[in-house]
Amino acid sequence: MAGRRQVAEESDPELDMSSLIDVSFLLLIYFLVTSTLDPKEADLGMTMPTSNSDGSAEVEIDQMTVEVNSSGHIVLNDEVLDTDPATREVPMLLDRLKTYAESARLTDSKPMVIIAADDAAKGQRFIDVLNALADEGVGISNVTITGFTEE
Amino acid sequence: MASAKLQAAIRAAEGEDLAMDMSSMIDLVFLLLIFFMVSSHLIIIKVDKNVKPPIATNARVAKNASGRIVVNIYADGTILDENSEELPTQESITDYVDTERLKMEDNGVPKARLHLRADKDTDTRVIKKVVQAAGEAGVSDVIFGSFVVEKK
Repeated sequence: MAGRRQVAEESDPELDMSSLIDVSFLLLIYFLVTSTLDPKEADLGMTMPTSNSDGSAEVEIDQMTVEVNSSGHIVLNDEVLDTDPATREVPMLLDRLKTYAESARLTDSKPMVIIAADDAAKGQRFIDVLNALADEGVGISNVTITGFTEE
Repeated sequence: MASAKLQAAIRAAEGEDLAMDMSSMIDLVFLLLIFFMVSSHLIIIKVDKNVKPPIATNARVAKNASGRIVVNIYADGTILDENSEELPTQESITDYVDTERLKMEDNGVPKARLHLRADKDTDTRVIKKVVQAAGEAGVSDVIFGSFVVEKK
């Protein structure tokens, strides 16, 4: 009897953690399987021209006007370029923009694009044009929008 | 006198369990946690889940989200500020952008930018209205919130 009491007094009391870890892993696996990750939102920038000019004598080349009509067709100088609003690719516009950006680079001037989007055109199509402007081979951030309606 | 290691080995051979000291590992984990908490900076923009942003493959994930005036536009054309309060008129948008811009200037942000979170199905008319109102408030840099890949 005396020996058993001595053993009880000497050994440290321990908590069995294994079941807790089992439950934790079970919950972890449940949330890993059921959860979906939201993609990160990214930035597509544009700079509107301001009236406060810094006075630098920069050669300006002709501005390019890109029209987006209510059907989502992209028109440049009365020529319809990309007509499928369901796709995010605008190869013909991209080609023209690259040529325009290159000619601006050669004349050492700042390219500028005017987007004339129809009021009823969808936001995605407007972004498609901006996306083409932000392409590596184009890189035009100087953009202005026309067709504001007075309220 | 047997060494501590030897004593432990003898005890193990006798059937006693060997326990690993976890305290130093936990110390290290907490040290790393505190380091990353201190050195990292959070990008805080309130994301309105009712807005489904368009897709733009050339968009870039922001490294710094400071100095942004957030405006949300729903697919039906409803315009809301970052705190989901409706901005019904062009004047109210201009007032909101102007107030936020002045607040940012007071906090040392020289150039505020408009962060436009427009739904992909929004009419361009509404986007133009917000951009025009922001221009009237003196904000000419516009950032369009978009996804690089389509959300599943």
